[in-house]
Amino acid sequence: MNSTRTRTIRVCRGTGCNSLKANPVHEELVKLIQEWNLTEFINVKKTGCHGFCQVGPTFIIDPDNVLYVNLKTNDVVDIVKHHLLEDKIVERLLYKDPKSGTFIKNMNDIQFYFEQKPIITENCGKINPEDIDEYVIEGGYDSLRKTLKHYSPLEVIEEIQKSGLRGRGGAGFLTGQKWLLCHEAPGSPKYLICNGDEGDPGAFMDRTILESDPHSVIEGMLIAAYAIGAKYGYVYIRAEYPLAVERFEFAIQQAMDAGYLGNNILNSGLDFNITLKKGAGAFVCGEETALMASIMGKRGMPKPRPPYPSTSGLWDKPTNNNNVKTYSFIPKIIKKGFNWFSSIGTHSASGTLVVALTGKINNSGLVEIPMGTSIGKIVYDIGGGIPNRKRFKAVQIGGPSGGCIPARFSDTKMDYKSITALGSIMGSGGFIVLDEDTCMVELAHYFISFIQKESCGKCVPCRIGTKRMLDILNKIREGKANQEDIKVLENLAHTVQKTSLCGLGQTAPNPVLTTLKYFKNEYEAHVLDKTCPALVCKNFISFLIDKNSCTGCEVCKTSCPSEAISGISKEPHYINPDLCVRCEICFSLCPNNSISKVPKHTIKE
Amino acid sequence: MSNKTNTLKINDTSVEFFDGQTILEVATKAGIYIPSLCYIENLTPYGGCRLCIVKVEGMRGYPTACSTHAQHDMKVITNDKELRELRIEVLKLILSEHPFSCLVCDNKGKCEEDGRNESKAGRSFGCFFCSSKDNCDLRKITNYLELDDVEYQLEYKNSSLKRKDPFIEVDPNMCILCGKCVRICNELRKVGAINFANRGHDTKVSTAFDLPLIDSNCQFCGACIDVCPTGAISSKNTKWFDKNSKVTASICGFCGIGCKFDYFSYDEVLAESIPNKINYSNNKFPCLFGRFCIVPFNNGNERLKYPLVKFNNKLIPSGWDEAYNTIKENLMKFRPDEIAILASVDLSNESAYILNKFAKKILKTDNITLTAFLNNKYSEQHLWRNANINGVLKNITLNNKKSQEEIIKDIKSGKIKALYLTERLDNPEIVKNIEYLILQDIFPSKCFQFTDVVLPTCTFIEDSGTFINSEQIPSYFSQAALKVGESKPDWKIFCELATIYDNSIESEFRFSSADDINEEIIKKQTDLILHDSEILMENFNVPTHSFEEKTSEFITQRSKLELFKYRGEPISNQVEDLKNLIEYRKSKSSEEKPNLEIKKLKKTRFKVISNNEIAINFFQLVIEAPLIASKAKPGNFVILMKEEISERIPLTISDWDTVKGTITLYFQEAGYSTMELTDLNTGDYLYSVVGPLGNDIEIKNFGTVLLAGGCYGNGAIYPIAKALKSAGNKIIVILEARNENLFYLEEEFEEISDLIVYCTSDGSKGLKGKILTGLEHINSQGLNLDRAYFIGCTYMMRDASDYTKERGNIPTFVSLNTIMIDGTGMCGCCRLTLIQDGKEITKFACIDGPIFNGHQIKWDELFSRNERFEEPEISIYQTHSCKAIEKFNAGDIDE
Repeated sequence: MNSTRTRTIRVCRGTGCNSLKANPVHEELVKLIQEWNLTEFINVKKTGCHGFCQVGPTFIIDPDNVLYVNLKTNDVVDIVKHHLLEDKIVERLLYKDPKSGTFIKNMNDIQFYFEQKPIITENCGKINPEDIDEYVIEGGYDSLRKTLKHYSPLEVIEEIQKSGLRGRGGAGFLTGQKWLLCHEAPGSPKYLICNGDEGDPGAFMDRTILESDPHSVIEGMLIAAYAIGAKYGYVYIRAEYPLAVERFEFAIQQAMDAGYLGNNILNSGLDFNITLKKGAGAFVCGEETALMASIMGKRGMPKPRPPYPSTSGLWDKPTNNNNVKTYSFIPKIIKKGFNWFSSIGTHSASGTLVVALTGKINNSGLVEIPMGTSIGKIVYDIGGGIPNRKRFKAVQIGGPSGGCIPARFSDTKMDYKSITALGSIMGSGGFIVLDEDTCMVELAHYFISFIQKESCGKCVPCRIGTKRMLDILNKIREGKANQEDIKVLENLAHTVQKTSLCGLGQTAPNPVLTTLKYFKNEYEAHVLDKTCPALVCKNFISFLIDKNSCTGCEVCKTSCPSEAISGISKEPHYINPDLCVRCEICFSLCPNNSISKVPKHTIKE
Repeated sequence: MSNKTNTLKINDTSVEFFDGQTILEVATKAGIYIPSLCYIENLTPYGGCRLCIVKVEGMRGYPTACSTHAQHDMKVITNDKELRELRIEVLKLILSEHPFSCLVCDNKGKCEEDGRNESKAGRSFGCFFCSSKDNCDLRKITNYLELDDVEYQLEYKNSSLKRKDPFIEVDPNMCILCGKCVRICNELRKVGAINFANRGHDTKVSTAFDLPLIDSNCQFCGACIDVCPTGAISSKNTKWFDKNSKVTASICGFCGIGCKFDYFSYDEVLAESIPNKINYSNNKFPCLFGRFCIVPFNNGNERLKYPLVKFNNKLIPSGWDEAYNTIKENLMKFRPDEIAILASVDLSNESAYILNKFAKKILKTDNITLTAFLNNKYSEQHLWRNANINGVLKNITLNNKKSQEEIIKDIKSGKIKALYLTERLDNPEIVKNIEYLILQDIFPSKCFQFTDVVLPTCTFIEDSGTFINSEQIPSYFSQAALKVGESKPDWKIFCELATIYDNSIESEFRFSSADDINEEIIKKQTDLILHDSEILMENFNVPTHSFEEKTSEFITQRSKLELFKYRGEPISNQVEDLKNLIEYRKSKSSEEKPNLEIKKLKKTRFKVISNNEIAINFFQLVIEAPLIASKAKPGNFVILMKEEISERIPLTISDWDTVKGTITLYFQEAGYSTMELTDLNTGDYLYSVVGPLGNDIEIKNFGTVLLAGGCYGNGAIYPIAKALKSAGNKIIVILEARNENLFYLEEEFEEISDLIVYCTSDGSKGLKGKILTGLEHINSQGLNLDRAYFIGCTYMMRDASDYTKERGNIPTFVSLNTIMIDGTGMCGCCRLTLIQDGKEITKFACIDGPIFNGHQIKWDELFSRNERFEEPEISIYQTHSCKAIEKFNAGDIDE
């Protein structure tokens, strides 16, 4: 027992790990520590997410700097017994590098981490988000004090302007500029909105910040409120983020109790209150005018701009609206100065970028990298490459509003200019990696059907245009389209882009336009050859049982919902293509991988 | 907002504007047209239709003119190639979900030349299935952009119609989601009965929880109808009027607000009342009485048409002179102080002035007062709504020495022995001891039992004149429709009676119009004693200040809807929908389940087996009728009646099953009677089915036979085609419709035809075009026809017959759906003229037809005969019953 050292075990309790059953693992740890009387030496700390969601649930053991991954309840006893008591690292629970195949003992050696530059995610996974003191110990609310003491509102704005910070919501408008407009706009009271209605499929940057470091957002909002002269703030968080809502509400209460929110904050004369507003599940409410309508109790429908919110926003008063991450950057910039910030990243895009890395990638999770990091570096180094030795095909950046960038542009730097030049948008940080098994028509179809469902229904191009695009994409997928349809689709995409009312509609055709631009051959294969090169579109594929490897185990036969599979036990089976509904059940269940997808016409021949 | 004028450039022309104006407002004022579907003046810009996109120098993208404020030195381009192309693309998208065959049809010019009338269909689908063709904004913009083809297939949403609510009918399939109705309901009317529901492609305009309007907060003001650019929301009972018919600007005379209305009339009969557009921007709130009740009230079946004089204790119709003379004769028997006159508050100033003069100069009595003073039950609210209380009181108290209270006391005490009423009394018992009673009214009432002479008079729709509205300002109303029967305006009756009474002062009562009277009133204005506020306030607590802010408040007094009267007649008595609304809300407020009685049809031999809408507006009706089924032959028809009081409808027997004993009929909803048929459900009974009627068709092997059907005709040619096929003929079929959604029986036709050609106006299936396109196609294939049958609308049959006559005189037969009544050749309604060898021969479609040689028909006559019931076809929607039958039931017509 004398080998027991004082340690802190950080248990990630972000939404990602929670859904991987971190709760029982956490409870098991607490239980064992108590049972084994280790409470004196071992501090178990609940933290937010540190980004590596692929490997959750996780423990990080300080000061040893050891990361245990993919933990199950019965793994905990080994860690307690061997690591904590015997000082022996439990190798089998360490992270295994996908390239070298070795277990990595020091988490700083994991490429996923050491390539990153955490600024706003610095506290994430490090502090307990439900304890304001931990935030304060890390220097929290110092920037607010500094601001109130040393800066005039205009000086704050100047500082932010000089830092070159751009809004992280997607459009990349200069934050300082936006604040100045709102500061100068006549009218009172002024409002502040923090947009946490993160709705892009596969994106969870804002959620992580709200769950893991809520006070950084509150502090950022306070500084912004001081700069533009706002008295009231709204944080709009989608209701599908219950943990973020819960933690943020808690954080607001703690900040109020500590005197960081309310009247006469820190005796400076600044009054500021934050109300949390839960979104009701409409994607379009991420659009600022729709979001404001929603806050005001109306149906979330965008309004034409101008007038812009900075002059006429909530209840027609000047309103400043920024993304969660944007606010989170503010305390850091104030703390370390604009020079420090603008030295990170590229000339036109300073600072770091938080990316939600998902899709066909080994290390999915949340990463923060300097602006200008290349796509290739994110995919291969931080992301650890594509699983199952598949070929990297493309990356979808910016969610449904973004575009698809093919693998050949791997050297492209992640900054506003370069990404826009390729027909995509930076968006708020969605980064979906696609491999060779992805059909680009199917991908475009997926995003258009998403937008189609999420359109607010107000303007014609978005409501009907995307429906017509969807019709054509369906025709293409089903093999009923001709070349004229591709032309109509492209023309339609441009119409929707040019004539839609809000950003949602204007960017909705991007997935179609970029896939048409970079993968036209795939569209043509569907239309002219009636094939799907990625073997995804059901009308163009068949399933085939390899006679040589089939053992006749009958798993496929018994699970087939359409009774398309026939064969005698212990003898090779056969799929009748006319009865097959291409549900892929047999394909996924075959224990010998004897079933393969083939182009439909090969069967006929 | 300053009034400083600024200038901007629109398409290189300098235009002045004020701060706060949008580009659209500036351009419209300068006469520059920018298409728009969702803009409503003075309401928050919406920017949803995307048609008003413009280019502004220095601005990103394409801002919408409706939402972008004009700025000094702005440079705007409203129309160039790029904008036009984008607008066309957007318009095509709108049309891809709104029936558009009528907009892009190659034939639309010709149809319009023919002056076709609308088929009064349930679902609007194309020009002649649509009630708002004449004011369709999509049509205007399609023409402006010269769009003639939409490459998308129409996505018809096929939502069910909402036609169960009073007054308002909704066809969601026509909605383009411009949001005008939502904004007018929420922003201007502040009712908030409707809003958008769902998202994306499922977005729709809906009440909360998609409840019927009657269960929502809807006040039935109809503002949504009047802003709807497509006819998705329409006035249920009055929508089928010709929007290009005569318009008269006047006011609503139901209350003292006097909202401005435009009255449309057809053949001098009132067809629709629509609030004047200005009302929507000046914050006035026309209510359901003006919007929906004026027409059915004014056109009520029971309106008094002739003077009635009591003879042998019975009121019998008589001439005016007889009535006047009787009045004179009888009134002479009384002393002046035994005679009193009661003035209605709904009289015009002119009538009230003349009435006063009549009392003073002819009857020489001061006993003139308001009926309202005698009606104890008159509630103050009721009264202050009345049209002209200010004006009437002012006029009748002119030079009056006797106080109002005294007159009332005299009447009640029995001092008065003869009474001249200008509207009925709520409680006729008050006058039962009066010896001689004259009643001037518009509808019959309980007062009749004590009345000696009834004089029919006019409403504010049939007369002109002035009211003094509640703001004490004279407002003018003009005659908008013809008088009913022999009724006369009030002032005219007084003048004529005065002249007959005492010819010596005829000159004082010589007026040719209300205007003449008004001139005299103005001359004597100085003599008028203004009682207004004092008397009104004291007696009735009538506010005399501006009504603006009060208006919306008293419209919403739902529970009081039944109190609203005109000339003493509760408006709900004459307006069925209003009556239903009142009863429904009453039962709701009493927390009982609304007892909506479903009319059970009497059990007969003719049971409905099924009734389904198989294509838009087309129904397949299968009826149990074994005797008819056993006798039916191709070409036969039946005449059916839904109820005892229904119209008789001739329908071709399309199929029959002698084993099951059923017949199959296809009908198209095209008017009130067919609308009633759409309600039939399995298990219902029809009052009567008569048939098989008409002559059989000759069935033998002719060789190659063409059968062409249009719309409802598709069902009618089917039995002929089937029979001819089994006789060994080569069958060529042309099916014609506006859009593929209107075809039915396609499978059956494919089975029996050797060649089938589809023609659609919008090209959605087969050839783009009409019957002639199909015929050309057949011709180009080099097919020789031995015989041709055409069944469809009269226009289709005429065009096709002309074609076959020119191309080799192919024997051509058409089926004539003329107006039939008895089906036995006795009534003569289905009369038509054939020209055989240069001679005109009269035939009757029901017994000589219905199949005739298409080359012999005198088409022009047929067209005009088919149009002759246009007015009653429209008005039956307002009154929900046939005038003749009601009269018959009431015993007004002897058998």
